Amino acid sequence: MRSTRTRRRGTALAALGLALAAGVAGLGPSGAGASSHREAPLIAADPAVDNTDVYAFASPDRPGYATFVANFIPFEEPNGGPNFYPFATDAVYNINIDNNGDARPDVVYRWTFHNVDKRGGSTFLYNNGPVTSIADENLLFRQTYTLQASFNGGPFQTRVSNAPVAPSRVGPASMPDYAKLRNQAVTTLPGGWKIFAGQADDPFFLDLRVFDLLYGGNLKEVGQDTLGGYNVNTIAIQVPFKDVALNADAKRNPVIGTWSTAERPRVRITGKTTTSTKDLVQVSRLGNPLVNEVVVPSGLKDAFNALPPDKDASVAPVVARVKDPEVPKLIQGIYGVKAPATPRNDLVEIFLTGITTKAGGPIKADLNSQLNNADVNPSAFRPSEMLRLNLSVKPTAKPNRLGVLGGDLQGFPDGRRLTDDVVDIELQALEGAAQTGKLVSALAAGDGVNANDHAFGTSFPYIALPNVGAVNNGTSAGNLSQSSAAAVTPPRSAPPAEQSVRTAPVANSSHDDTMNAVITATLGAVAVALAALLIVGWLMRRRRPTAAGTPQNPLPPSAASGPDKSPA
Amino acid sequence: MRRLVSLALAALGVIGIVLALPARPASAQPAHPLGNFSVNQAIGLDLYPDRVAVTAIVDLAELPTLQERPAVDTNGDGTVSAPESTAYNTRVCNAMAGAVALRVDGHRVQWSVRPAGFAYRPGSAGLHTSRVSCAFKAAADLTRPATADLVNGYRADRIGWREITAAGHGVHIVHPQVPVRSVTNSLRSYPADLLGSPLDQRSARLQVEPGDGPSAGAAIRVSGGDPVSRWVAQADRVLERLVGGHLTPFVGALAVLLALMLGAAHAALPGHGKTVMAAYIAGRRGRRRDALTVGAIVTLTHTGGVLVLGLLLTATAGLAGEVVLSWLGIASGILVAAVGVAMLVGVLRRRTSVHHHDHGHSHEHPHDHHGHPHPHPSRQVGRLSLVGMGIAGGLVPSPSALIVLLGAVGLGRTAFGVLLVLAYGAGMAAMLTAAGLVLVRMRDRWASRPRRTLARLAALAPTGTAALVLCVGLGLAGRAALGLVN
Amino acid sequence: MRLRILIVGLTAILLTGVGAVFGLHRGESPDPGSAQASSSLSAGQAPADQLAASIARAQKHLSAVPGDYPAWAALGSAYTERARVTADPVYYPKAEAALRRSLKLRPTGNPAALVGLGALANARHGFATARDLARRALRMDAYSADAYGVLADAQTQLGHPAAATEAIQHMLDLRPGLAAYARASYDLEQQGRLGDAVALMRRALGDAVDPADIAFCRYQLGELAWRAGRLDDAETEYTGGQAADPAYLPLLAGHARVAAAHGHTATALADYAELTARYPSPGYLMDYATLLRAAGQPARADQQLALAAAALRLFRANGGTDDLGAAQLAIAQGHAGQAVLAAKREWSRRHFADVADMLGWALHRSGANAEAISYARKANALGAHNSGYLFHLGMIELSLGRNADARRDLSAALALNPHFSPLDAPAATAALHRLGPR
Repeated sequence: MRSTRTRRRGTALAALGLALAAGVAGLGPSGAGASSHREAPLIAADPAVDNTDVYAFASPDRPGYATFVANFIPFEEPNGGPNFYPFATDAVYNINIDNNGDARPDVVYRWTFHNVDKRGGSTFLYNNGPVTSIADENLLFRQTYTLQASFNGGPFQTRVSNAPVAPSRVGPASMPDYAKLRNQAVTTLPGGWKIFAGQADDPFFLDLRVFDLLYGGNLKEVGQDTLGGYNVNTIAIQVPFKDVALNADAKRNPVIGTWSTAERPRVRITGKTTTSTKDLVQVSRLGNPLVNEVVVPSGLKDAFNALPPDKDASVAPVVARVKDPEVPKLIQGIYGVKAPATPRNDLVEIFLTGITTKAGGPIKADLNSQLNNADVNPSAFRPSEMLRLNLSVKPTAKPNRLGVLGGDLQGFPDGRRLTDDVVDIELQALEGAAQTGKLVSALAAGDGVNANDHAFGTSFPYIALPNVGAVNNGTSAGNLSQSSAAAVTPPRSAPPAEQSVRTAPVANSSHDDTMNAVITATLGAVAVALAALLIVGWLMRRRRPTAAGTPQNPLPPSAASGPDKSPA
Repeated sequence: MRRLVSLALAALGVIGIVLALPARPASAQPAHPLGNFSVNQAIGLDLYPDRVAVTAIVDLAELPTLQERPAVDTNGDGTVSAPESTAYNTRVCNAMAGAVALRVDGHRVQWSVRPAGFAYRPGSAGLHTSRVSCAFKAAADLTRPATADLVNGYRADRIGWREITAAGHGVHIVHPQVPVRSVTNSLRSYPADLLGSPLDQRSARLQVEPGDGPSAGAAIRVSGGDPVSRWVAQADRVLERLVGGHLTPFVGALAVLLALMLGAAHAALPGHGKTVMAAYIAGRRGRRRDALTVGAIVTLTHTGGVLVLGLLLTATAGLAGEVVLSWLGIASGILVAAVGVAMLVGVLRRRTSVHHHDHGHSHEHPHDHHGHPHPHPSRQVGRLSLVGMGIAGGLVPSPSALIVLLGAVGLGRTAFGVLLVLAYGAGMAAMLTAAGLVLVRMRDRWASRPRRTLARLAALAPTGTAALVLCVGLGLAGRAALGLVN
Repeated sequence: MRLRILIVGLTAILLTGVGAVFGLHRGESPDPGSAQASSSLSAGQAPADQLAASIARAQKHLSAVPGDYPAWAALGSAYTERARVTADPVYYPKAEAALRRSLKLRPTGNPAALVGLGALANARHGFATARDLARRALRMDAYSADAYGVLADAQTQLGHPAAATEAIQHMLDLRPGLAAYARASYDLEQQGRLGDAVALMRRALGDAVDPADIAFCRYQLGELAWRAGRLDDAETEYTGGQAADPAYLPLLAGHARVAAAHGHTATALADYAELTARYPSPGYLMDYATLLRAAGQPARADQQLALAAAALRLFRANGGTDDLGAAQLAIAQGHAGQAVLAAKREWSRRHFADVADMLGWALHRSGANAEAISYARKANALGAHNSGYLFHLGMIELSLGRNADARRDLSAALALNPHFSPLDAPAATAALHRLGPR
């Protein structure tokens, strides 16, 4: 133990020395002394196009209709006062669908947002009175959207314009009946399409500390939904199967792949361009969850964000990483669970082709690859990263959070439902559970977070209402019930933006009291016993007349001492 | 018995090794000042029941110092004379006093300002930095619970480190937002912490209540100069942190073990009547049993004393821990002195009435080979003296145990605190007993090898030790009384 | 005896066990109010912007997971950004240490740390170093928009406009957003395409989220308006910027310039006094001195120049070189020879337009007008429509007797912005008067 201590002390000293050296020698020229040159922001936050999740599933309450959900802008603080979270108006948000496996979109749904700003630069207030309907004049800033659709590469046709966006939920005083505003933001089109855009509770549930595994942490401290209490901006659409399936025939071609992107117009300041000549630049992309965190190596995240799926197969390092992932090796090192043998063609199936027997992969099941579509040309098939859904799997009444690995074929990786615990599923899949069909028991607990902190709805758009109330004090109330705890101010020791979302759960106080009582009683008994022991021993020593009866003083022979004989 | 002694020696050895380990390096390292145009400020609040005192320090980096130079060197002759310096100091302090607003229960206090120093110090590039010190005082009624709001608006537009510290003397701050001590040693050394941004505390709200309260420990802290005491003090702090931190089974067990060790360590330090016990054992031919007895009694008294005092301090507001400790110190000293007197009286009585002494006991002198007629001490008086010494030794509660208990009570973990105090006491008992046993063993060994000079010294032993005990007792009482007066 | 030991042992174990029992039910960690102050943001202030919030999050995360090298790189970059926003140089060594920690944890395949070090090098005027770091990062990650940003900044300052434009186009093709639009706007501004520059900066403003970024965009829009002589538009932008972030200092300089142009000298001087009190950079101190001199207070102007000299000395003592600033100071203090030496040194390092302009002017002040004109022409080569450059060129041409050229250039300077400088604009007007009508 001492060597560890010395080593740790040495490291600490070394770190201190480094810091000191950096502080003194590395001080370098301070910007204050330099003649000023133009310094522009470099890592400016761009949350409006930050894609957090994509979901795709057959609608449980509406047979024959598929639902697609894409979320943007993570870590939205609820009840943020003057903070509200608009969609970007200089970007377009797309949900793309590939039904023939060539990794190019065959159906694109595109949202474009516009601001309706009545503030006129004289005020920054979001609203100047209670907002009781989505067109209420007290709402000074709101957004509308235009939805366009393109099929099979054809031109985009506008399906609806100036549809309302559900506003950011800024508090119960301003929005006493948010559920009504939410309902007003669900637009139904002739033909049965349902569309929604607006704020919602972040449906993703996980403990982000799981990813500390990649940097020397372990799974010891998990169990806290890091995203609990936050909101996101959502776009969602529900369309009949025939509108997304190949040749409009969901019986012959039930499998579709989907991913979402955000794009901004290309700007040219030179005569020549350096990448493609398309007019839009892809600024984010997302299909399967957690691919960027777990699969794509850190030097390739930018590439992955910039490339469309039809280029994935050409990026050798990404494919190599799928075939030889890092996480199982880490888990083997920490937990001793043996990593499955590489190359991991089962992961190639899950992430890049869909689970099928037609691509020569190890998982002997035909679930969700476009190769299983009858009308697909296999030679045109390209492996690509996207979320693949088999429309013919009927929604179950009791979804299993572990999806396919839990025996529920309707769940991830066959599409993704709101209730699927993708962290646990991916952990198990990385450890080979999809291949063997058996869950790895050592990782059964996963990240310890098995469900969202709010229940989902039973009808479109299914996602829960946005939270109100600051994140830290645990009262992320709000939902369909209007809780009065909504306007509680955060505790003074932790300002809202400084996230200490990793607080331990508060113990049950009555349990505390009983425990305390029991323990105090035990202690009292112990103390009394000790004291009594000593005193009795003392008294007994005094009373006992001979040394033979007192085993307490085996004195050496030269030190003959008799017990005490004084009168008490 | 031998096994017990070896056990005791082994314990001593372990404790010795542990104490020999070097202390942790300090966490704050001196760092380069915070850039060349910062104006750093430290406001140190001292709260008393009847007044508030502020030590305000401003540390200007090179460029602000240069910018201020015309304001300092008012006659423009290129040198700063003493009157110019004082005048500038006064101006800055007055300006600062106007910008530092303290409101007690909403009423702004009026500062009386005393400039406390202004000096230039060499900086980089041949320029200077400067340091201005001010002292503010204002009357305030803090004899009842109050809220104090401090806002520092001085030079709000300059970048720089701003810190606020607050310490209560005779009052205590409930859930303090700011620390008691400056992390920069009053702007002398700034921590080079990669994971911290510079402090920018411009305001603080303090709930003040009379009495020393659960944070009495801060005032009672005993500082030791030598490495051993420092290590022990650091171990104390570790224990306090464990008490206040996140509790897991491992942490709980660790805390108990640490308390055991600390009890033993504190018992090893000067205090708790070891000198007295040593003197007694040496002079009165104490036996192992006596060592055990004294150890047990000291522990019981000490534990009981800590618990009772802790209860009193928690329950009674307005009780100043320091004062109580001083009174206890006096009482303890008087008791020890009484024991010393009793010993002296006993010696004198024995001297004068040797032949009356034959009570016919069987003997408890294990090594009576010197040939000197050793009078038998009266067992009655002896036991009382033992008890007296034990009580005296344990009467003054160890501040660290008190702090741990009060800290735990303050955090709602009363039972855990009691447990730790018990463990502390057990550790003390072990150490004292071990020390006593070792002393007895040594004395026995020593006595079994008769030497002429030592034998002659041994003859003086009873008187000498009695006198020693008396002196120690008087000294203890006197020191405690002095502490009370100050 | 054995019994005793047994008792003692049992008691010890019992005590320890009970201690463990305490730990079993985990209560809420109590408020660590009595602890020593953690040096993170104090309790009373909630950071209002994303940058400060992300720094706080990263600091907390890294104290729990110190092996997270991407987080160290991100923290280092965030510190650099914060230094730029708050003008507080204490963050530079922190940034460097955090980035080096990231590299130590992951020496290869860590482009983010290299990009962070490159951005830091740019901030400290190590433009060649920044360019090299950016290129290394791009070899590892050809799709890194941040690396292209660092490269673009470095190439601009090094005086390689074509390379800078190419890098910015890459950035626009990878991640169009605030960072790319702002750099594209500056690029176009240097080429004189002021209308396009304004349009791009407005796009950037539309994407800005943090108050400091909004303030930055509005300041740049104000500057573009100022350059074109539209004083009211400039004032509107500066005021809008201050509404978003009152602590963003360059806005004060903008206000002061507009006030001086309107003739409100007292206001302008007060603004500069406040600005230089908060951020005594040589550039601002010299501007303040210029204004003081124009307002007829030469003694105070000299005081400010002395402060600027001290600031430059400190910068050098900290290991930096700023010969451009040294040249400007020398000219202001009337030491033309020293100015030429300093400007030549800077020119040997980089052929940036500002440096060419400074060198030309220094040569002119030392009398070497023939040499001066070539540099002044270089400064204007890109067609920047910069009143200062045009003024310098015009005065040099005047000294060389090229009256027609001088008239053209001095008129152009005043046509763009009649108040472009409190000392130089009157000088230009006077010179034009002396030249007489065409």
